[in-house]
Amino acid sequence: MPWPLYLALKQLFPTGRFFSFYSAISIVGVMLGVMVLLIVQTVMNGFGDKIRENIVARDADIRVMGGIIKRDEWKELLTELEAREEVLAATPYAEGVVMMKNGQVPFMPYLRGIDPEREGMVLPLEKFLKNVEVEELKCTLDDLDDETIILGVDLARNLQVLPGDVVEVFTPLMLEKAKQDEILLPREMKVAGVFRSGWYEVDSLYGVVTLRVMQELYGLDRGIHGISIKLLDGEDADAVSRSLQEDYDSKGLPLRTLSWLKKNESFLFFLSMEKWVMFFIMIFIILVASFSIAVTLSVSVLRKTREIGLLAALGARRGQIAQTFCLQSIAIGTLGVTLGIAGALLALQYRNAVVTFLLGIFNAQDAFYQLYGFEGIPASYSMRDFVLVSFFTLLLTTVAGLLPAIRAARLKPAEALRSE
Amino acid sequence: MNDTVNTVLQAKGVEKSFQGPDGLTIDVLRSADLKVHSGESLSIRGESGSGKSTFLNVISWLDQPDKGLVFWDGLEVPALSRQELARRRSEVLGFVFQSYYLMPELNVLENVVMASRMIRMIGRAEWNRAEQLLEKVGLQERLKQLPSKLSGGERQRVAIARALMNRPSVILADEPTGNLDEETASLVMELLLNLSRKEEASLVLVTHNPTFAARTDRQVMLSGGKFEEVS
Ligand SMILES: Nc1ncnc2c1ncn2[C@@H]1O[C@H](COP(=O)(O)OP(=O)(O)OP(=O)(O)O)[C@@H](O)[C@H]1O
Ligand SMILES: [Mg+2]
Repeated sequence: MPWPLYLALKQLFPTGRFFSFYSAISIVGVMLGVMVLLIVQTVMNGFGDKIRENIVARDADIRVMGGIIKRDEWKELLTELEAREEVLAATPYAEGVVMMKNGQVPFMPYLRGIDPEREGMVLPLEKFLKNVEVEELKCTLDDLDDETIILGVDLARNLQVLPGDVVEVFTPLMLEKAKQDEILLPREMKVAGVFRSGWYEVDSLYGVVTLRVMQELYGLDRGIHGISIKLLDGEDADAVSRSLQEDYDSKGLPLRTLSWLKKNESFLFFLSMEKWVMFFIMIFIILVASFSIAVTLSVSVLRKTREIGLLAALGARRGQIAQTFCLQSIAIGTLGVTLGIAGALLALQYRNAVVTFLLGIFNAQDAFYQLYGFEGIPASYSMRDFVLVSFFTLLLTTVAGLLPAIRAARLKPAEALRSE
Repeated sequence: MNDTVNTVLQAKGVEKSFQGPDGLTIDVLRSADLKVHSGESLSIRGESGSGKSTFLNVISWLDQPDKGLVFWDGLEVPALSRQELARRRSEVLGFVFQSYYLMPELNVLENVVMASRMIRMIGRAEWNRAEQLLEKVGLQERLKQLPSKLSGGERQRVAIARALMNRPSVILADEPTGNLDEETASLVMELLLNLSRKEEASLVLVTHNPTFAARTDRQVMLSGGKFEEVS
């Protein structure tokens, strides 16, 4: 072992003691910084993924839209889309706002007309149906026919309806008819059951009917509003969306494609911005820890001035003296990063227990989970974050060691030996 | 025998001055000449501030003279490359300082071995030699102890063992007993004189104590920046 490394390690872990107090403080500082940074980034990633998942669940990967797409056209489009190798499944839909009433209180939710055979391949509707906790409210897609409707769980609660109850549905088309003095008769639909996506906006604003019912309500004949597409895992929704669009444009079809990424672009942008802002704020913790390393080592250079003189007398070159101190900060950084990663992984592993424990102290468990909608704290481990954090930390701690190292190397041996 | 071979250390016309705090130059060494022969012991005396420590720094090239030449084992020092200089220094010279300068984070044995560690890969041979040297200074029982647990005399004995570790040609000792009580001082001095003779190293001893100075083969006095032989 080269002696600068030997001496650096000995100064961190002196003979006969487990570690030195000063280096322990520096190591813990770096460790805490790395740990907090990684925990925050991982949980933020988890939230991001959860939110993305929810967006995808609501939106499908890509939508193809074009006003009203006539029957012959969309059948062909659907076959074409399903033949593409990036596409896992595609399903037609018709969607629009309606007014619903049970008794006196009106609501204006969206109704989505779906093909019950296909919908499950694109959107996790069946999962949403299973999510419902109360047995009496549950139903399956088989219960959906041209007389029935499935409501979001919060919408059903607002309407104060249970399965078996009837809701009245009014559509914009009826307004047109009302203008021509026709009698306004709402469509009566029996509630088959409810679904629960876990997202309040969806659960309080959506109802599901068959495509045929929606076509009648909106006067679409056999046409649809669009096609939802689910891609194979790992496909880039944006790229596929763009190539589809080019395809339709070149054929002169008046269709528009929209990927979920594009549709939620600004929201997703803020999501990733938030993550980076957090990163830059948090890196200051490590910056502070690096300063403490620089201070500790500078003090150590001062304390050890005579020993540095001695090293020169024993045959040390300047570069080697600098190395002795620089290697200390590198060792502190490496240990801090290692312990920080270990600590972060441990804390993330038991994150729910930790949060439950903390909430238990304040007696706030129920309120917390209700407010926030997800079960447990999400986490998504990103190799890139771990590498980035480790790299930055090592960089900062190494730079922190350079200053004292250069000071040590600059000392004149004779004067160092004279110093008291 | 050839004169140069016989001389392990030589200073020729060395001059050194410092800038004092009031801006005046203090001429500490004025054309100082000194030869140290192989195997001999030499004591340097002089008033406080006469430049004894400065001379030791210059002759070990820890500080550069303004003028003059320094030879180690007949080699002209300023001609050496930095790397060569550092290596030669640890091979030719052993240091014992007034305050012992042991590494506080290394134990006694590791402190002694450190001298070798700095110039080569160390192995069994080095550990054995260090143990033998520590035995010779009477510290065989304290090998694993940290310097902070030792008395001043014991620390100085460790420093002596360390100075001898690389079988140097010369040991430079700057008031090695300055921090010790009388009894311990004579014990340490005894060790230093005997061991350097046994290990065939010359000894350059800076001391205020005439009794200790009298025990060396040759005595010189530093005054007015020059050496004078004392007979
Ligand atoms: N780096 C320096 N800068 C300025 N003056 C210095 C420096 N080093 C030594 N001196 C001066 O040089 C003179 C000789 O100092 P030196 O330490 O060599 O004396 P000494 O003979 O060893 O004294 P002592 O017996 O007290 O140890 C002193 O006046 C001291 O103040
Ligand atoms: Mg002195």
